[in-house]
Amino acid sequence: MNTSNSLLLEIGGISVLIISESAELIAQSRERYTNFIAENLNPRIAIEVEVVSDKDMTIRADTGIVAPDGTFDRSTGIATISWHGFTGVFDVNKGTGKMRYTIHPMGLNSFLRFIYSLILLDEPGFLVHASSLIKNSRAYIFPGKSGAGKTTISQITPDRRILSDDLTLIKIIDNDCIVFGTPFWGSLAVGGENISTSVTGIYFLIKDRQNYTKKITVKQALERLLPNIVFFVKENASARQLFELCYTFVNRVPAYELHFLPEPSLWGCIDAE
Amino acid sequence: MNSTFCQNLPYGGVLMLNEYVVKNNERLSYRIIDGEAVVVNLTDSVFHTLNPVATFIWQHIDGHTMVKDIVSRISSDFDIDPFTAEKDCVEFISELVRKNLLSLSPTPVTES
Repeated sequence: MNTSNSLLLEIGGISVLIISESAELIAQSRERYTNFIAENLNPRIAIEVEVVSDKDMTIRADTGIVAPDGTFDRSTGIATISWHGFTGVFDVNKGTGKMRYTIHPMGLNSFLRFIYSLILLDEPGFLVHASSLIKNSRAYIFPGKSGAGKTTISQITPDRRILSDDLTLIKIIDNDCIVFGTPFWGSLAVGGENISTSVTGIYFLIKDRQNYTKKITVKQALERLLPNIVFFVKENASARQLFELCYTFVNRVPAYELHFLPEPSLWGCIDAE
Repeated sequence: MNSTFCQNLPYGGVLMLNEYVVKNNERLSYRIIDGEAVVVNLTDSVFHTLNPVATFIWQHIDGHTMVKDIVSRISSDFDIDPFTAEKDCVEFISELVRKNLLSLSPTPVTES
């Protein structure tokens, strides 16, 4: 399955086969997604990637588009996206996709984020802007926008296994909420480990002059979680599905404000919970 | 009960709100948590928490019930005088119309 023109990955327990005539793209991807390379799996998703020159793209990488332009037609299962120098189409029902792009660090990665945000809905699960890690066999999630301290937490925590410093994958399985490592990184520029475990707690980051945690209500947790959910299309049924998933999640997982100083001592108050 | 005239609605004129029915925006979702409605605009993830009276109003917004009937229910269920009930109801609905969470219709909404 893994050749110079194809690469099989498994992210969040969902296998995806990347196929391209560009050996350069496959080689780059093999390096980037090294923790997530899989063998001997039947791919659930297959993506054909066409690498083109920048002049062949309708939307160039430098057009300044800051938000992805995603669509999803539930009746056909077809989703499309145009963003940062790439265009892609994905058939949710068949699990097949095609993308065209110029070799650009954001291209394939962005398309994978887009596809996973859609396909996770029926797992059910979702992607959230959050760093996540495992420490002492317990999994912690730290949502936040850029600058909130997600990468900092990953960097300063001793003896941890990083799941992601930017984009965390969560599935709700039976009565459990499971967090999975992802290759979707932030400033740390290192992919997470391909492991998963039950979520111990969710901590909303607040930079402060002292370290302490404060338990928050379901309502407060829902309010803070929703703006951090990663989803690229405006489609009512999907949005409602996401809202219900988030509601289930915050009902099952204890949520806190984490007021913190950027130093390892912050773990004193988390470990005390 | 007096009809309420409500200014500043996105219809460019004065409305007799009591004679209208109210409908939820399709791009929102809500849950009742601890007796209070939590309404989220799915377009921008903006979060609105409603107090118990507003939650009661919210639960009666179905695209069929006229505002005057909701006012009447508030007055009886919360033992509030009709004028106060009307004022509270109209203010709440007007605010949510301005926030694009609700829309007004002169006739009951037909399901598509």
